[in-house]
Amino acid sequence: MEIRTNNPLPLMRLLISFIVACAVFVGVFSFAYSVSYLNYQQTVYYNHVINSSLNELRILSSNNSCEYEAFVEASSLLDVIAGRISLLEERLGKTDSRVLEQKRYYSEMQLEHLNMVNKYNNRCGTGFKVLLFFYSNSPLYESASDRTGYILEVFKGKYPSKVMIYSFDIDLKYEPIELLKQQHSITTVPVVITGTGEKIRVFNIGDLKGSEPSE
Amino acid sequence: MDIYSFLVYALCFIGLFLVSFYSLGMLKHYKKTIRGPRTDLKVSIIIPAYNEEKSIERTMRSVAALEYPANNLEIIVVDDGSKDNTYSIAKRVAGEIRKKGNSPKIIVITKTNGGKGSALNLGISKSQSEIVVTMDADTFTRPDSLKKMMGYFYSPDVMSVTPTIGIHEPKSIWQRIQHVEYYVSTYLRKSFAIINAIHITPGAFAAYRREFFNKYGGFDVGNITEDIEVALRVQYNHFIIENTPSAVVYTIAPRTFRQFLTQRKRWYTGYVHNLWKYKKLFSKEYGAMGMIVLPAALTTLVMALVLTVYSLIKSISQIRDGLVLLQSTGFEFGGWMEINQFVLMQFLYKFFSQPIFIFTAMFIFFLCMYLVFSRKTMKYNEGVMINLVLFLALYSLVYTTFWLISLMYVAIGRKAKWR
Repeated sequence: MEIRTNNPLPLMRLLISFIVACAVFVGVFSFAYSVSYLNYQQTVYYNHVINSSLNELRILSSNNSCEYEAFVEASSLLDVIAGRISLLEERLGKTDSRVLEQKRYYSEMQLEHLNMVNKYNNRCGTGFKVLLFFYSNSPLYESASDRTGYILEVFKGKYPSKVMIYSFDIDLKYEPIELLKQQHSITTVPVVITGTGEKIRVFNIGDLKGSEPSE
Repeated sequence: MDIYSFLVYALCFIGLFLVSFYSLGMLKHYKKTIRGPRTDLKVSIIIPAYNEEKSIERTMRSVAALEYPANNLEIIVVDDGSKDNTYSIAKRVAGEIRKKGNSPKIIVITKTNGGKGSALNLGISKSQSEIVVTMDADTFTRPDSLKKMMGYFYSPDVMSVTPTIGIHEPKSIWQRIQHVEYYVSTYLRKSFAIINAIHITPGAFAAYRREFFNKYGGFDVGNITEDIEVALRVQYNHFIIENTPSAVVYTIAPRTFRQFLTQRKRWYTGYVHNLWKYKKLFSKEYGAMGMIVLPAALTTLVMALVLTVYSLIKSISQIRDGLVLLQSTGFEFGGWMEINQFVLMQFLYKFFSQPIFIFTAMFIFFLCMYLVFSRKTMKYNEGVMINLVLFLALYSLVYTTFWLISLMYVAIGRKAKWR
């Protein structure tokens, strides 16, 4: 009964376990970062796809065409890019230089699409309902901006081929956006500029009643 | 990185470390630890019973059917002053078993109610065998379980041997959750045995050398978790507790939430009190148990409690915000729910770019591996998928709730009850 057993600590096993845990831990983070980077690469690739789409629109515009499907398709692609950029902001950070670069390029493509849509509306009579959405990611305005952005997303989802929504981050240091801000006298966000130039605050979907497209 | 994320990833790292540590031990030593059965040891099975008229017959018959030489086996049923027909049923069943011939010696005694510990001690005092097995009156065994367990008394150092406990026919949500929990315990108990770190001998069924009680005293009568206390006492005195994964016994899990809560309050408050009593176990002297297993158990418990409570509060807040958003759109989704290639890609990117989701998937995978091991060891063939889903959905909430209530009981010095 006086036998006693020793319980030596298995040091080698502890060390190997620690190394394995570190390796897996770092591996998971590396993998997650790689996926974010892949998303970034895909976003860059989609920019080329949208450029091709915009090329097509430029040709249609120069031919004074009233064919609208190409505008809708380009708008859908822009929405995809917006989703990807949103995810990049979450994963890489809102101030990451690559994210900011993509946002500027995205804004440039939006502005070109907006110009062509305005010309289309003037040329073809009936057209798209255009909404400009100015937002900010700064802590003071982020929550309200997210809410308005969500409502606009649902609104666009209801009328995907009749409504065009263009979103601009007022904190993005990009001259065309600064000019747009001055043009519409944007002093606070979030704010939506309707087709008639009216400035509205959108906190529920009913606030967009006047912007619904006609049947 | 905020404090919440830091705690989450710290817990993930600790989890990875522990999984690696236990798995390496299993991979290296599992096959070496398998022992053959033996039937030469004299065994007394003590069954304390209080108001168990519904299950005592099945328990006694399962023990009588054990594949163990009748002349080396003794059954002692101790009725702890039951208010129902437990005693009369036990006496009837004992008579029937004796009539069959070639049956083990069977004794049925009654005493005034004094708790499980006192009933066990009375049973031990009546036994003459070198091995004492304690068994709950709602437990029943497979015929080969006892002889398999006896094979693990391979050294005088081994003072106790534990089997695998399975839940019999889980039906309610709570039983199904415990069903998976017990599967996980099967793997963990064996991996603890490999490093001599078992610190709970299940009251449902466990074997001890009688000489331990002779020298260190019987079960602690005032203790509501006498099974935890005796296990810690064995470890405290530097003996070995072994585990026989292929020796399976079944128990009935609490069916209702109230019964579940009552059981776990008793277990968890008892665990805390007994760990405090044997706090010297948290030292290098006790090897991996003192330096890794027990500290890790407490650390991960505290972190898990904090994170679960925080996550719950955060989830409620997010659900509230989500409802406000939905209300702002008149509960319309527009094309939001449209599934297409881009939405799927977005979902995949979102999932795989977030380390916490990858870790979650990884731990679910480990859990499934534990289930595969346990089911293979126990030779269990019934379905487990729905139980696994319920376990994943509810266990952390249930576990946190029970622990918070138990810690409150400990803090205010309130005693948990048996029923």
